[in-house]
Amino acid sequence: MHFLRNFSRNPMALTGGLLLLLVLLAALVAPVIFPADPLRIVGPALIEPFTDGHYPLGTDGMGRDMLAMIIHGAGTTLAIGVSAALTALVIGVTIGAIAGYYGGWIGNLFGRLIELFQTIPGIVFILALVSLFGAHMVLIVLIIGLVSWESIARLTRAEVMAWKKRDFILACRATGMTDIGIIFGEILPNALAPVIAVSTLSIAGAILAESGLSFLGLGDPNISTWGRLVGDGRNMITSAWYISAIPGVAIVVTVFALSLVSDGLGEILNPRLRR
Amino acid sequence: MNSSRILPSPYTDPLRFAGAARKRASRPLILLRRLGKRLLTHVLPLMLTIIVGTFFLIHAAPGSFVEIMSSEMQLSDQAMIDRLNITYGLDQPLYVQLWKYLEAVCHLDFGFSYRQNIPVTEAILTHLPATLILMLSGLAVALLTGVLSGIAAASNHNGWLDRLLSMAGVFFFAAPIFWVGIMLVVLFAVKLDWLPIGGINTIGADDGAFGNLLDLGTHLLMPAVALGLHQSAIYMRVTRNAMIEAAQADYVRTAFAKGLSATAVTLRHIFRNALLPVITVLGLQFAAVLSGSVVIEAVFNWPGLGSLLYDSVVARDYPVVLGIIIFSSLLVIVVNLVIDLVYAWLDPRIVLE
Amino acid sequence: MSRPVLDVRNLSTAVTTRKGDLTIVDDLNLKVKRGETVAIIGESGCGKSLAALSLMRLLPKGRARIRGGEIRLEDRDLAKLPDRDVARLRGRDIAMIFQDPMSALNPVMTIGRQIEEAIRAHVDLKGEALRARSIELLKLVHIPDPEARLKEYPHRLSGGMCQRIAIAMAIACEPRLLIADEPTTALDVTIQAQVLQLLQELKARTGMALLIITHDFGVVAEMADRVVVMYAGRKVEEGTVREIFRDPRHPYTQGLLALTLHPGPPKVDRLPEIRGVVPAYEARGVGCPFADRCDKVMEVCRRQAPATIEVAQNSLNGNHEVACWAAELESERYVVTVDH
Repeated sequence: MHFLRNFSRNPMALTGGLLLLLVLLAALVAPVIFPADPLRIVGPALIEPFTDGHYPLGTDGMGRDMLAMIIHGAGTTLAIGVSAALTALVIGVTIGAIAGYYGGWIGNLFGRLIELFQTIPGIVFILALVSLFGAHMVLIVLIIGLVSWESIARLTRAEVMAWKKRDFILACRATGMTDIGIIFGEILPNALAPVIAVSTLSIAGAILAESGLSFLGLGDPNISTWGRLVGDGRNMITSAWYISAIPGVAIVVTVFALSLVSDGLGEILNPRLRR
Repeated sequence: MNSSRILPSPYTDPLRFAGAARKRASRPLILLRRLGKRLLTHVLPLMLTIIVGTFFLIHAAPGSFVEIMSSEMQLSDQAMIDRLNITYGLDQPLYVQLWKYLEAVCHLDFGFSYRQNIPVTEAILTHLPATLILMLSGLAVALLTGVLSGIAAASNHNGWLDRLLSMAGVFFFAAPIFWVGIMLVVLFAVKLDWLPIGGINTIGADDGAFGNLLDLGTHLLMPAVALGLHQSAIYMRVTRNAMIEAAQADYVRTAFAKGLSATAVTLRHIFRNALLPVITVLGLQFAAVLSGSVVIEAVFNWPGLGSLLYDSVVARDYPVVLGIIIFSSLLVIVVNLVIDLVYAWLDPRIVLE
Repeated sequence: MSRPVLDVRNLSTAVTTRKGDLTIVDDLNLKVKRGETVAIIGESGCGKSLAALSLMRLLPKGRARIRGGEIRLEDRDLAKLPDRDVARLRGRDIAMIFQDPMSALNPVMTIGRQIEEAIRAHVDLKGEALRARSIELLKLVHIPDPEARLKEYPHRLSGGMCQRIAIAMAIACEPRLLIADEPTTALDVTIQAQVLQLLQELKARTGMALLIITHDFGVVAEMADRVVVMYAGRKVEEGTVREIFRDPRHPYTQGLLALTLHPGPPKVDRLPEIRGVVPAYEARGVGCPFADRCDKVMEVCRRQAPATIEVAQNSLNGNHEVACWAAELESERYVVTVDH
């Protein structure tokens, strides 16, 4: 495929893509390799990583297998990240398209809406909503989506405004196409290209946001994501700092990979910037 | 020499063209007008929406907040609960409560923190300075490292330094702030013992003004760096791209044609123009810096708004939580306003919209 | 004969592409004498702008470079000088103005500061003297109300004014040669005339030489003493303005001149044209680049690039030269191949 070929020409994007695939793989094979509950205590506590063959990444303060927790964490972290990003995408594209396409008070109103969510600091809003409504996984996904959509909306709005001015849109209007038809049929397919690249980045942002939340201990108490693991290890950084370090590395690798992929997508879809 | 032209020109007919420059308003006046317009059309409705929004947020939460308070404080006396309801006006219809709330906010009264037993405003103001210090230091770190490395990357466009710095940038962007903070603590506080683990000062110590400042500095160093590194990745990229784009402009070619040295062209022409997008990003990122400092404060036990927020969230102290939403939003708005004015001042092409 | 201000020999400039270097300007020879106006004419893409940028050593680093040849400015070879030394010569001995005046000025700097920058690059003036010189320069280029202009920003000025300011900056240190790359193309017709007139006036006043790049024969007719015709990166003909207009020898020049419209009702049904298109630079072979479009094409044209010959000698104004096998055949003087 033309697209994949272009993608593979870019070494950084390729690296990112491969890393991402690795993470995805980990998430998928988790229940196969480590079928038992990763939060189960399996052995003596505080075994250092790379010392014991049974526990390649060591065990934590309660004797749980680090590797198992990390591999299982991949699934939950990715799931939350992707769903939150999807939520943000749907909300953001819709609001951004309306704000960009319609002038007058509708466009103005939706523009102000974007500004509103741009103003309230993300983590502040997330914490407030979590404290008010609880910390269930679905809620967290929605809340993170609610906080992340505005950057996508801004981009969509800018793109739609630019594409709206093209003559072929005028022609569509002249033939009597409905507004929705024009937006979804003509403008968005063109405008979506940079938005896709940014969406990959927003998965990264969602992962970082969720990690921060569960690091603080305010995430869903029933699921174990990498952020939560880092938070759990906080008390032991003087003695067993690897408990916090290793899940963090996992986050870094995943977000790093997502950034590279996003850059690669951005370059392919917008070759003008290839300098 | 050729024969005279048919149409008049400024040098054949100077009198006609003299005074053609209209009287224009001075730049400070333009900026002031812009400020006023912004306040009226943007700031006011935004703040109003946020305030009203937070009001409805409290009431949307499951359980009225008196119920929560009473469960937290383990009240069972119904008379007490009724009295609280009256005090907080919860027996009134919604619109009355809203009006009362708005009135209170106009007097800068955001309610009462039942956990600490002080007015919310007081709680916020006592915690504000620490956050401001942290944020400003973090921004300083971010701008310094980000812009400088961006310039370096741009001068080495597509070379090894550029790639290296870009990679480092992506790395620091990917590393969660709290993780960077913890790693720094592990390295510098636990292993090397050069810097303190957390807090804003060494408890009980008082070494005079200079000593105290130094103490603050050592405590501030790691949090500021952790906060700044993530942001610096963003500034590095923006600066780099802006400089590369500015370098391709025609006026840069003119500058070289005049015989200016590469340094002079880079600083006076390329950088000066590349500054504009950087300032724009500064405004856009301020809310993110605020968010980041919340997390950092948790990691380093820094007694600022972030810690206040965290404690209040855990204790369900809603008046404080919502007061912080309103206050931090206000901060973001003010900063964006300032940035907008700075941008308008720096870019002479901006006219009053 | 006095030494020329500019003596370009065998200049070749290449552009860097992913597949390697692509030679655009191919073995260009050019002389500009003191106080002379030489016009380089050719269509878009013939390499004339790239040649001009090469003369100033303003090629974008990493994207284009000089592959060979000499650029002798009085006694120095610009092609071989290190960057720092070239910067010292730019603006002082050789200056350039560009096609789009509005984008040639820094939008966030006042006019005054930009002019002062041009002056201070080579002359150490400060304070009041600097300001006075700036105003003097603005008056030289006929900017009305110069004191007020100093504080203005470029976006407030018209294209014509911006170009005049660009000229002011270029002549600030009285260069011996001014290169003007399509200086009037982006301007209105009436303003074009004013700018050209200004250039003539400055030439007369300072005695500087002018190298003007254009695609417009009208400009050539008005300004030039000598004309160089370029095609596909090569010089195909050179001569005085009279020789080129009255007695063009190269088929391309002849074609170009036939294209210019004359006032009055058209005498033919079809507008004249030169059939074919300019060959892509990658596709250039060993023969004459004009071969495919030429009416007088011969066997030898495709096999070998034509040598440059003189068709008329004129010791005062330089020779009328052509690079064309057919022209060589037609002319009475034979292969006195001019070796530069």
